[in-house]
Amino acid sequence: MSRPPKPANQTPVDQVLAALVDPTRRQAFELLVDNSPATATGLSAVLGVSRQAASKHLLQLVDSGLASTERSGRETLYRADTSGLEPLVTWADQTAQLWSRRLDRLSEM
Amino acid sequence: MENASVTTRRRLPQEPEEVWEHLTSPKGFEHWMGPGSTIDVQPGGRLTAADVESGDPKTGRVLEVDPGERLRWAWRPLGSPDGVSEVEIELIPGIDDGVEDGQGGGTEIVVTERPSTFAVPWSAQGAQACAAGGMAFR
Repeated sequence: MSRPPKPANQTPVDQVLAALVDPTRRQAFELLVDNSPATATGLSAVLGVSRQAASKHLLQLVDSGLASTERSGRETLYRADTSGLEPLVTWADQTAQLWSRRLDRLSEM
Repeated sequence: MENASVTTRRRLPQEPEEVWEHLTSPKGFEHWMGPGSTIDVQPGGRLTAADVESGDPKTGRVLEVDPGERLRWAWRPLGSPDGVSEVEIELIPGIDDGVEDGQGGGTEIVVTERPSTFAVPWSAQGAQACAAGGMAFR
């Protein structure tokens, strides 16, 4: 299956956001968070897309560090990996701290 | 719904006009952003921030100017094509400062920063909740 190349110049935060910007893929991730492990076939029914489309979204989540796979007989099982959200959480923490310090400087005036 | 974003709020005793002056005047901007920082306060105007707090100088463009009320810009680390984010600063007047002097006044400053490469309709708080376990982030 062909996948779009991962742009080299994205920050980790951008990569997580890029993976989740697609509504169907975001829904797939949310479903996985609640229902791991799941198969592409199982998720395709809930998402209302073909199994192939579901597989493609799931593989992109895997590429972005938001899901992992394991084999079970002939099936591929997908699990959500919420640790993949860490770049975003780290960015949020750092950004909040920086603005708090910048506003400290502003309020000194 | 909001994009992935971080919002920081602070109450200041000064009126919005005075806070705006501190935010945007050459001397004020340099004080809170660091030596050598400049901002051309008009849409499309250039912004150069020493950003002493992060130690990571930034360059950007002013997007929106509403004197005394709102300032919006996009910036990124100097010398880097990525890591672009958008900053919106709002000044909200009339916050009660708790002093019974009949003056009221003061300003609440609300700063929101969001990565601008992708518009994703959920909040960073939602992502944290999700990371903490099993919650959809909307």
